Amino acid sequence: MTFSTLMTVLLYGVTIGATYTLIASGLSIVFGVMGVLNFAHGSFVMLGAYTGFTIVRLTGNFWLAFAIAPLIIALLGGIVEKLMVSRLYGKDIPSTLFLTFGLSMVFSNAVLLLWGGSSYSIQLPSYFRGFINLFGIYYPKFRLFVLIFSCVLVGVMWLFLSRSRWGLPIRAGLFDLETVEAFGINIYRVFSILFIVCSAIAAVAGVIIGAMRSINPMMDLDLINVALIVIVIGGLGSFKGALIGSLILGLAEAFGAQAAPGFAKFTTWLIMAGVLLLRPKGLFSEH
Amino acid sequence: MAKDKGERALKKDLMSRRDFMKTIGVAGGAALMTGLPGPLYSAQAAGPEIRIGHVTALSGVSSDMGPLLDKGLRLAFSLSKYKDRAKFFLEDSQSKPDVAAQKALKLYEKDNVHLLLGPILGNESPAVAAVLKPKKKILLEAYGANAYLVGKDCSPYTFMLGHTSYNMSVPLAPWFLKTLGKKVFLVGADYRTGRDVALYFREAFEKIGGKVVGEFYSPLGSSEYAPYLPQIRNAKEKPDGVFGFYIAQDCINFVRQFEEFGLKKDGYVYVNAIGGLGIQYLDAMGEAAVGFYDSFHTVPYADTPQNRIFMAAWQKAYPGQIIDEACMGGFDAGTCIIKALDAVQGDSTNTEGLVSVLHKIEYESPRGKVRMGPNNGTIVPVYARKVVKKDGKYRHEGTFLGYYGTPCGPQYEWGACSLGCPSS
Amino acid sequence: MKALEVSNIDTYYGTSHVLHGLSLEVPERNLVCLLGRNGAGKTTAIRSIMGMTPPARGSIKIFGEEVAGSRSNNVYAKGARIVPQGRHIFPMLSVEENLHLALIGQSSPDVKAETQKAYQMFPILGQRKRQKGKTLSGGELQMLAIARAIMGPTRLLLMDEPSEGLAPVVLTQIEKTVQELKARNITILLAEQNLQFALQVGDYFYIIDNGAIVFSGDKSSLQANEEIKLRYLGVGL
Repeated sequence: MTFSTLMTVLLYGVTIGATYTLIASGLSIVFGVMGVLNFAHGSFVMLGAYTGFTIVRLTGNFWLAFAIAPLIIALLGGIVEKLMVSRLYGKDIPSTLFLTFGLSMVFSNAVLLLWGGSSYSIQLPSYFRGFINLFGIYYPKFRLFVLIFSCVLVGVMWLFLSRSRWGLPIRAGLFDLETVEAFGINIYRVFSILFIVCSAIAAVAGVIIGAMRSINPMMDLDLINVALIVIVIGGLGSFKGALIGSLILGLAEAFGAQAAPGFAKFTTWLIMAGVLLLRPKGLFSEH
Repeated sequence: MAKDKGERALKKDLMSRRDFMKTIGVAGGAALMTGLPGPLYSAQAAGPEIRIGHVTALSGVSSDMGPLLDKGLRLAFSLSKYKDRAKFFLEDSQSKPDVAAQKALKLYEKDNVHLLLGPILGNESPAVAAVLKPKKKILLEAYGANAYLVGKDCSPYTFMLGHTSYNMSVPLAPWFLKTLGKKVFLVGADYRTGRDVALYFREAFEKIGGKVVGEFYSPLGSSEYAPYLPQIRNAKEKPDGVFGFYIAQDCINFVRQFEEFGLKKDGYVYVNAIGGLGIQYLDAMGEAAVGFYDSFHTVPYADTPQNRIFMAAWQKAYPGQIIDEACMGGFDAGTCIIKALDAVQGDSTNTEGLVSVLHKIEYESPRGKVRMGPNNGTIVPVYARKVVKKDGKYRHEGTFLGYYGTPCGPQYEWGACSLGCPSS
Repeated sequence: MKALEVSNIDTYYGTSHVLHGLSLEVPERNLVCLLGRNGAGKTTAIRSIMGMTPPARGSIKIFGEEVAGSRSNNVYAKGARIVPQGRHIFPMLSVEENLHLALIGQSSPDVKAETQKAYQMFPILGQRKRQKGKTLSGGELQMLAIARAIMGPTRLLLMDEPSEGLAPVVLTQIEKTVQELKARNITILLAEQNLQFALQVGDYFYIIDNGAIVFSGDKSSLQANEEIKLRYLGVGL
């Protein structure tokens, strides 16, 4: 492998890993704190992509999509939490899976109805098009932006969890929700806020992915698949685990495709199997 | 400017899908439908009914194409003298072979249709053909690409109006050599069609002195090609072009990333087989696809007399809606059926008469001149289509490569057809 | 007014009936002990009062306000604080974060002053403030559990077996702490198994067995009743 190939693949792997973090961390923390395995998490990413696409189509303003799509999806997340997910608190995981799986089907059919089955892609502003020469390799400008932006957002999420008023009960709730409540905290409000924040971040990831790849009514399945693998590798409920798991997955996809193109997807499963054998609870399980 | 157009196109698209659903009465995302008459013609028959069945995907992976095929089919009839007699029966195949076969039987047995236009996917068509063949019922396929149906699984009652991997890749070999050069890098989605396309092209290309300088096949359904693309740049010799087959999402992602990673700028040209750069995908690909090629038997918006008639009719029936390969495929099938009906004096119940007419049929559709080969597979004009931007819209510029059918015989994997095989 | 009045509560864990018509009272500024063996229902009683395992029937009043059926965060809002059995310190949160968590549900707390107060009471916690909960020793965990419970205004403190699993030297320290809380006029309900510890600090005593109160009285009447002690607490002289 030449140096330029190595760098391209490395950069690519890290970029993809960073976007996976945005998706997987929300799924992981919602599960860890609320006990809800949200199969519809990928749908929020998809709806974010479609909403962002429509905003760019209507206004021509890419940044508006970044600002408004997360707000719309956060609102949707809030409604879904209030009307449906909230009924599942304290129920077993299969029940939460059934409901959210159903939701994901509703959402993908809603997408079919509203946007049809065609593929779209979010058009980038001209300054994001093209590529730059980085250490002698070509790397798309937008992907570089995605890399930096995702890192910043991951940093913000980390700050939210470690420093903010709501971060403390969320991290505490991963271990002992009952005691959190006994210390005067309305856990249902924490749940709502967490669900809304995670929906909004999923929508941001959706806009990013919609601009990097094509948007279609089945992308949610791909994404939820990736997110589930990440949290199995990283450990359920762990933000650090989601981050490391995403990077491992991103790099595995990148280098796996180089080493054995036919087995690119296989590499991912192999790693997951390996982690499950050695550490059945994932690399960073905090339970 | 471009923004406005985009906006309008989107609104119209949204509109059209809802209208369509309303028109034919879809309940929910995956609905069963029995044919209600379309908006263009009255339900009163002026003669015996011509009952036409259509099994196509209204849900599942190819659900974006099914409704368009149906619109094209109905449009062809609305322009014909049979417009008041035609009665359509539409069923959802759900993009599944077993469902398609069962719906096809239902249409013939319960709805008593006289002939049937079959489903889209290459694994659905043989399933339908297999159940209709023993019952001696007619199946026409506008898509459903499957070489076996014009090889050893051919039937006097099955008519393949579309393409196969073979006739959409082999004609590109001499064109590639002449237009782009002698060296090719092969790529593709790692599944049956992706591998077949590369194989047929390679054989034809090497026979005439071309050279393959490298190749890779990525998993079907990959959304990221960044890890593969460097291999093209790292090939021992710089290829004159990259050839292969990706479809739908895969193709959009491949083409966009091909550009993003600087290959296009450095003079690499991409050629995709079998309509991968179809008009429905061009907006999503954006500038990235401009200057690239694909192959197909249909060129939407081509400025030919037949196509001008079609475009005007389409414009009138579905104002502002984009014309794509699928609706033209439906129109082409309709044109073929009408021509056959003419030859049997409009008697759609005369199955054996229709079969013998269809076996030798020649007709002209917006594609150009189409002729049925001895193995009941059409011999179609094949075009190398270059993606261009015209007045802010992404369109194709077709170069006619010749008329090609799909040969058959023991030397081919799909074997010989008992009805006969085209000479070449 | 009584700080706590529990009348006739019945509490279930699933289908198992744990508390049978339990009643007790805690006058303001008193330390009342709830004594009993393992499994007698002490923890369930504490959890019922806190709203963590709400009773199916009966009434619980905190300073005259009915809280039976409220969720524990609302009971907290009435001024009830808990030192849970097993401490329940959040293992991945630092000492300081464990303390701060208790202030999130309070309106306009003085975070700095409250934290300083806690470190004054337990200097060792001040030294360990950046350490994660899971790295603390048993005694430190118990101190943190107490410190966490008395962050901000505390009207009623429910302590569930603070002596459990502690070495004698640490126990002395906790005893001193409880005396200090009494001196600060905090009303306390202390669930205990350790009779010696309870007698050192308690003003009034209830003995619970099979989910019902079987004895109540002051220190002298408990000390005089050998039969009760032997039968329900398993201690003879």
